[in-house]
Amino acid sequence: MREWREELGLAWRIARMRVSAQMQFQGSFLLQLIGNCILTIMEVVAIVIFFQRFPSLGGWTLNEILLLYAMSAITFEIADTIQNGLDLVPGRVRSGDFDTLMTRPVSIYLQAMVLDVSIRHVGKTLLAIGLFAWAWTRTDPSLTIATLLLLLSALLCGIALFVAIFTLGAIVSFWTVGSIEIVNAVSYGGSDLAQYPIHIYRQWFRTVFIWLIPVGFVIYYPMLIILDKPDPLGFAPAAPFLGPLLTFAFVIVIGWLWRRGVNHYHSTGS
Amino acid sequence: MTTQGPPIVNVDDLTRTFQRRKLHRGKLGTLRTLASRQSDTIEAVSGVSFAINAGEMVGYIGQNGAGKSTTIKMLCGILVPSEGYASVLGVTPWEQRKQLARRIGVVFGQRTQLWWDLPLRDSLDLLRHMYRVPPDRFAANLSTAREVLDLDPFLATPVRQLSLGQRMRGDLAAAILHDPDLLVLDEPTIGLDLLAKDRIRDFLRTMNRTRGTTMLLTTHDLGDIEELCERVIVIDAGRVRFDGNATALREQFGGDIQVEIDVAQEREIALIDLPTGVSGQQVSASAWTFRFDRDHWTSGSAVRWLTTIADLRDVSINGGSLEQMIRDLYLSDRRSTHNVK
Repeated sequence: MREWREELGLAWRIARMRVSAQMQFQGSFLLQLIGNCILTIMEVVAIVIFFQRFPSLGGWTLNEILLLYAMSAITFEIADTIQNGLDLVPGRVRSGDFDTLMTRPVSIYLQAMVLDVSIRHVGKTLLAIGLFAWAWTRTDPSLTIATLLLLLSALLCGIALFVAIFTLGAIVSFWTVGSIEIVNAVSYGGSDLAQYPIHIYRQWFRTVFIWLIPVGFVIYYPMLIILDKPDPLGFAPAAPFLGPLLTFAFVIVIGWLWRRGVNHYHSTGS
Repeated sequence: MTTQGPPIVNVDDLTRTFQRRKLHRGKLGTLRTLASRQSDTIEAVSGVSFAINAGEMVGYIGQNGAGKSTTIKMLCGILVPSEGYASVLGVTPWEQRKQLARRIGVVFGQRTQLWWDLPLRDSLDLLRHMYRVPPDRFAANLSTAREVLDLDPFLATPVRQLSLGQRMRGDLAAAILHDPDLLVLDEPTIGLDLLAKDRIRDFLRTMNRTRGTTMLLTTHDLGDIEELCERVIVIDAGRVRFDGNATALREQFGGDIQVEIDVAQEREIALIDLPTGVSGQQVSASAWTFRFDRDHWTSGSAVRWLTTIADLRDVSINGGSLEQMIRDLYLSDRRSTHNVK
């Protein structure tokens, strides 16, 4: 246990140092930040424009959709910030520089996560939080303990899920030379998906994203309950428990796959 | 200096094979390669056995592709062997990676252990935390490293901006900060100029002498062997060809000593009536190359003799090549009745 805390502290230290080193390039940092914010604003504008034409999307109003969007954006951006280093794993596996991680007395996964730390996502996160607050006042749901718990669940499970999906991309590279684009489609596509109510998608697609990759589930359902929307799929009563459960299961599976991947590297080198 | 006790490194019949997809050549070669499931089995390391005692400085030499790096990776826990067994500081490397990592220092000549985007000083500080180095030990080790390796000029520079020589020195400093019992170095002087090599060899000698750090270094530079290792293990095509005293190896198979001289004044040097075991050749108006066979000469005696025949302006000594040495070793091996496994 103590070792875990220590390793996390070390990872945090590395992350902090990387951020300071990056901050030196102020110009580049600011540009990325601004660029990221502009993209976010454009996405929101697109949603607003849609709602000029159509009064509701599956029974959800503009403000409700914005709340859903904000929630998924917050979880995604936080996850993206945390796991940035994992993008570098395929390159390291290919070049053999992954060896460097294996000679240190620290968890390989943690090291991989802090290989790169980008805080340009901070801009989008702050915007999303702002949007969330604004949409919250417009939709005015009741603020109870249950609501808070649901929000917390959505946030934590969402972050855990996205990080796990990003890890999948790194895991795949242990077996293939190039990382498959499918994983990108799932992680970035998944984020887009979670912004809209689930039931407008076709059955099989929903199956994948509720059961196999509980992305839509973990964020959509808590919001549905909080906003008291009709539940065409009928999962609402079980959702608050199923969401975290599925997330937990998914994370375990990904963890196991990571171990398998590292063992594979052990036995094939680079 | 060597101390008694159980061996620090114990390698027993270590074998490592790799599967490589058979490359098809000729028409549609690429397509056929993709479609076929045939693969070659390459034995990178084949039944290697040796033991290293505390305090030894062992050179693990061989040409490129001989299996040096593969062996090292197995001893560090990066690769799992196909067969065989190894124990380093009492643990099996690939089974207890983290525990072993705490007690060894690793230097890869071709890639850095430091953090690319951070200043060297920050990397060293991170390692202090990572390896839980007590403050007084850290201060002492850092001070020694700074002095012997002359780190101060680039301590604040990001590692990615360092020259190869500077980066190697940084990696060396990083490797000893936590007082490892064993230092494993994979081609530590590769690509460096003579001055840089000297500095690094000096540092390694100091570490071994003052701390008794056991060292295993792979190299294909005979100079490293000459300067650092009492004992060498020669590996060729995955197998151990020689395991013993470095001087004996050099004397037997080191090849002729080759000396190039530049004379102060152009003059005729008579190439007849040369002493036993010497041959010479004029290269240009003022430059000559001489060869001395090791049965009768050493580098020292060779140069001394050369000073008596001309006013020397410049002298360059080449100890013979590794390739030649291994070839000679292999040939004599074949001829002899004993078989090294």
